[in-house]
Amino acid sequence: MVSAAGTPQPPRRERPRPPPPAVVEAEQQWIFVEDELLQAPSIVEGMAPEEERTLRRKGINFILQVGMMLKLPQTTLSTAAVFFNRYLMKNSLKPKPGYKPLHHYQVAATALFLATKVEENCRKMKELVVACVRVALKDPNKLVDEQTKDFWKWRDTILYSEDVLLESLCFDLNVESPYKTMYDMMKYYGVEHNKKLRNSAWAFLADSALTQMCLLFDSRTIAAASLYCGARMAEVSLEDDDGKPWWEIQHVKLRNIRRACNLMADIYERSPDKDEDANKYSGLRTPEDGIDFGDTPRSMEGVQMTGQELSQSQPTANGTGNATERGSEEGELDG
Amino acid sequence: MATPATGTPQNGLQRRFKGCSKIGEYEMLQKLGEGTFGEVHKARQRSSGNVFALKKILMHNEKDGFPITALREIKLLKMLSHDNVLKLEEMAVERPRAEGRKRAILYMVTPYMDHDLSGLLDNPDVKFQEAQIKCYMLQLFKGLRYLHDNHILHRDMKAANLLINNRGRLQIADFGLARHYDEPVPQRGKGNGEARREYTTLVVTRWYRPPELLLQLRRYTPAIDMWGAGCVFGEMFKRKPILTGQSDLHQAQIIFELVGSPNDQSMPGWHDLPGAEPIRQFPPSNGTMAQRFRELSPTGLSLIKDLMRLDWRRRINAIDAIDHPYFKENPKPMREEDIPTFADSHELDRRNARGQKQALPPAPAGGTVGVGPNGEWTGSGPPPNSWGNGDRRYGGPQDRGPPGVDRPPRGYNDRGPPRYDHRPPPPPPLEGGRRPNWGNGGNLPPPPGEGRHPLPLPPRYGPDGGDRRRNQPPSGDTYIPSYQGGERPRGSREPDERQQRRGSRDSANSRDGYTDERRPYRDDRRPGDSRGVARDRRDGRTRSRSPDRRGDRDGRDNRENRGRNDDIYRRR
Repeated sequence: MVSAAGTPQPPRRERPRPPPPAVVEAEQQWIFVEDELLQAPSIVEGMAPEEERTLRRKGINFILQVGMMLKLPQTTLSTAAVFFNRYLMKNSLKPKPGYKPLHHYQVAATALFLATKVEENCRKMKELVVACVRVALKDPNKLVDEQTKDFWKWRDTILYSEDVLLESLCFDLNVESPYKTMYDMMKYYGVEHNKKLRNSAWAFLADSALTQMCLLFDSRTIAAASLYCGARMAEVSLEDDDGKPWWEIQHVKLRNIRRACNLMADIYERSPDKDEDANKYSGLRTPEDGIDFGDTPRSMEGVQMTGQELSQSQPTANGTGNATERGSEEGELDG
Repeated sequence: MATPATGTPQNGLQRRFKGCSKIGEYEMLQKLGEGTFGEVHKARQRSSGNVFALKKILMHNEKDGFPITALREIKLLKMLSHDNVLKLEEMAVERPRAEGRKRAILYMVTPYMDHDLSGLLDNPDVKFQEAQIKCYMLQLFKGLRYLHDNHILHRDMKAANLLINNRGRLQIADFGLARHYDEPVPQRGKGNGEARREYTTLVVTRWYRPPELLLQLRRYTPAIDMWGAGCVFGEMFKRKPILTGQSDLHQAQIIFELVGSPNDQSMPGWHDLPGAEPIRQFPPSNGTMAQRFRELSPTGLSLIKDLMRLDWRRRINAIDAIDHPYFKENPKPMREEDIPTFADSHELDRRNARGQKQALPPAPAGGTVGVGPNGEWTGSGPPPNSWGNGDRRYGGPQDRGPPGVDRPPRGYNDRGPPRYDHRPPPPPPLEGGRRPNWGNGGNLPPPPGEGRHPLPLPPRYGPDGGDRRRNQPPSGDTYIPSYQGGERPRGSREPDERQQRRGSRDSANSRDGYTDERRPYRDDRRPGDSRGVARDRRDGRTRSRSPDRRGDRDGRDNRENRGRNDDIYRRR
């Protein structure tokens, strides 16, 4: 949003602006490295990491189901998922003496309630509560109204948990929607009508919502990764601007795009493919003989660049850039 | 942090998150204000020793949770960082220790600013030099350039929302009405552009409302904030608001008297605007700007004319205003650090004085005056909150509201509960946004007041400032009759307001079924309101925050002492 006053006029279209510094700063405090995800409060309290991940996925599924029932837009749901994931980085789901945690569905419902307000897609409290009860009971047609006991339980939980959620979120409510960023990027490159590209990118974002991607990368990187994925699928190459590769124009680091893609590939390889689409992310993995950054955990193994990207990124992403990137990442985390 | 990969999970995350702290990290110093707008406290941060203003967010509508208007404002403020925009430092949470589930009390933490512009101008002891005015205007334009460049419309530009500290820094506050602007941003030399989508016209305090809004242009642009800046510019010379219309129609009338009647050159397309009809009846005017602002140099006059240009497309934008020759000619703008600091300006006295003068004659029963009080207000004075500036939402008199009422301290975005209401301030014209602005003008009876008693006319500024005195009520407080004794039950008002809210203000935001905190604008037209003129209430206002200085002026005017011991900020 903020640009230097003296920026020269772009030749043909408005260059994407970097997000406002204040927003970047707020977002950065929610970006973790993978090892830190293993130190989420629930896990520290003794929950198995696998179980924690499962609860996250269940919570987000809950958000998606309630969201669909309420016909909420995808952007609102992704914001709710971000709120949910962030909450779990500060609060445990594991009960212990003197601490009765919220159930992951309760957190999810509250996150969705807050997201509808933040994203200006409000629904009536009653509708939201009814949908929550139905999804929680796994009975989409259940008759629920103010006479139902669960109705009031859910409503009160949502209302009383809202400020706990807000506090946990540090009131960082500006969640840039990766969907919108992705669409803006597509328009910038004039590829928004390429159906294959668009659908692949969209699918990437939808799939990533179920992961902890939003805790590892900023939303702009996730958007760029989805575009990268779409472009690969559709075999489209995105043009440079003034000799700068597209990701730089979009204020994103290639290295992070790769990490994000590899993470998706990891996840899909780990889970047995339920549908044949699952394999699509395997194609994203950067081939073996690439340059190894040497610092990347699991998901970056075997990273390498291909053709065009290789030549373009070499000076920027691989050279000096790499060391400093890493340095700054650690610096932030230390804070 | 980067705990070693092998690290045991037991360590937990060591990260310190910013943005929200416990109330215990602040030491409350004094209450700065209280009223419909909630409470504002001055507080010291224990860790740093710095002083901040803490504004409590009132939870009005329990059943909708945290007010959406507050969420909007927090979101916006968190995105912004500029020297001339009030910063939201963080949020502070107070968890009541009580059994059962209790909701937290949340505070917005902003820097403590010493004054607001409206209060300073009110203070007879404060004299602005032209170089100082230039310095403030430049800061205002820089803040606006930043906002507009970031696609934000402030939509409530007015002197009361400009905070000034004793180091000469000016900051734009109160983003309760602000919103994202979905259009290309203003470019150097190109005016303010045009908008493609529609926004609600129910914004901006009437006295600062630009002609295109009065004519119901929905595709408005950042030019609306520039008009307000022009009004503020003039106000700094005149020391009081320059266009104090008593109704929207009257506002349009005095605007055209000042800057000249609209025609196809000065305001292309004006007669196609929905609100143009009544304007045609106005007597033609060539404008009186030059006579009225004789104190301005030719370049200064050209700046104010550029800011108050009827044609919103050609109205000067903030980028160009900064480069205006006015700021290059002598006297050169003062540097911030050279601006004299203002003594506490005896605010209390002023406040008390205000209390006295406020005595306004009862207004004719009118439509619902923008006030919130429901029928309970039956007093003979002007409604406590009404008018004027739409400050109802701030709990009243805050700014140029009726005189004498204690104004909440400004500067903290504390504008009331209602403040989150995103309601525009001035006595709003439309009932629920559905009526034409002046449809009710003339002598038609006011619309039923939504069950409220008719309210008296709000106080006005005006030539006849004297009448304030004439009508003085017996005691300083009559002004707010029902609040006497500070006892007005608080609860009684909010629910009412809540019910009155309806609709969303922006077409884009409309949400079915979701009622948020905003109140509808109420019709403020008062039939037969020809008496116009404002009674001077300026004297009464101040916004200083140094309540401790009472007594300084005791000798000056005894009448002013009445009520001195009341908490000045307390309205009920």
